[in-house]
Amino acid sequence: MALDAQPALLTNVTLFTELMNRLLNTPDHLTPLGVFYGFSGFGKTISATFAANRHGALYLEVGASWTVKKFCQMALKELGVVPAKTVTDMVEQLIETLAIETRPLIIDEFDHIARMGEKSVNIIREILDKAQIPVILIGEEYLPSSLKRWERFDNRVRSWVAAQPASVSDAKRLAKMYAPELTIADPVMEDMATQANGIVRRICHGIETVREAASLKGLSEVELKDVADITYWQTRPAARKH
Amino acid sequence: MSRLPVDQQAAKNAPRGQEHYWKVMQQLDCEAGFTVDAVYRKCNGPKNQVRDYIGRLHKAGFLEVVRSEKEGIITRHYYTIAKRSRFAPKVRRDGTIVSPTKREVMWRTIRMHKRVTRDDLVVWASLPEVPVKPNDAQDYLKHLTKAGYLRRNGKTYTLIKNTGPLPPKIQRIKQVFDPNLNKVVWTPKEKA
Repeated sequence: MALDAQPALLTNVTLFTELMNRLLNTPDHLTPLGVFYGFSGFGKTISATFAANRHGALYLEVGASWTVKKFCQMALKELGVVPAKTVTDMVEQLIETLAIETRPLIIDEFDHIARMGEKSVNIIREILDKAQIPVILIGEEYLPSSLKRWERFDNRVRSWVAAQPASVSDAKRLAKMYAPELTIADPVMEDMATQANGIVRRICHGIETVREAASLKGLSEVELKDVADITYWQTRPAARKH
Repeated sequence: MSRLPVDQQAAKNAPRGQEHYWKVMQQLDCEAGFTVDAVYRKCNGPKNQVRDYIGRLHKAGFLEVVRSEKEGIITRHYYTIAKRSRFAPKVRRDGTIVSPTKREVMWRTIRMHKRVTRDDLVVWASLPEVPVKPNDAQDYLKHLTKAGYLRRNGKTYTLIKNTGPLPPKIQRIKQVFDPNLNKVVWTPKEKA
């Protein structure tokens, strides 16, 4: 099927895979910690899936309402360990279990932890520091600047990688993946990529809209004139007046 | 001897299977090493199964021989764990490591993306060594939906119950078993 459209070729997927490989080859005296950051909708999580599946990574998504306690509980659950009662014990458990773990760990939405306050951040830092397994933190664009407040955290990060906005060639690959039966002309894809401002999620919406329009009109090739009257995605509804 | 269905193993709390052998080895692991016999005595499975698994682990480098004792024609090896792992390593007879199953990869992808379509799974959950076919994806999504893990909305499936890292299994009788909760979560209704 759509397998000839290799997702590995998307820019961010390549970046993430490189980051993962670099961390896996970190020398022993350094903490294999990486940060992948970028604006919402750049396809950070999707890029992570690809590398995660290839390395059998553990994946944890931090919730907005989490406390350190919840973080420890969820992390232990992910590792298949019955959590202890108190945070102190759980931290110990986490260090123990992570230390013998060989799989890398991906923590998504790390911003929520960065917002928790100094003590919590230090607890997390302690766990990640002692674990010595590759850890990748995924966060929004401002994650690096919010981590800068804690020098001890900041200087442990081995590499910072910024997610890139989707390029026209990324858009073409996405189209091949999600609408393999359709030939979309290059000017259409270029138009879509510029309008999307590099946001992958928008492009995916756009491809779907084009696909729907094409199937309505019974087209297998889409030219610029075919999409002249459609909008690729709905922008925020305008305020209503009466 | 055939393997018990996974739900019956859970119900009986039968101490057998690679997961259990590995757990026992981790408990026995010390500098002096452990023998096949020592592991076997703490298990309920057949001895040749234990020996076979230890042999595979040794070949793959998860175990190391610390010393051997010769008693006539029998040589007794004492093993220690050389490479630690939380879950029992899955190793083929020739010592190569088994690639993750399709369901493992699909389950991880579903948990990461939260909202997936069948085609998403085909694209994102395919590994070079284990490609996911549309049918595999469709079948897994269907069973997960029936068991209440996903909610279907047209082509998109949304994750509504995230029980843990281990992929829910579909048994041969089309029953869904969740190894995270250690119980059967969905059984097909009997035909009247």
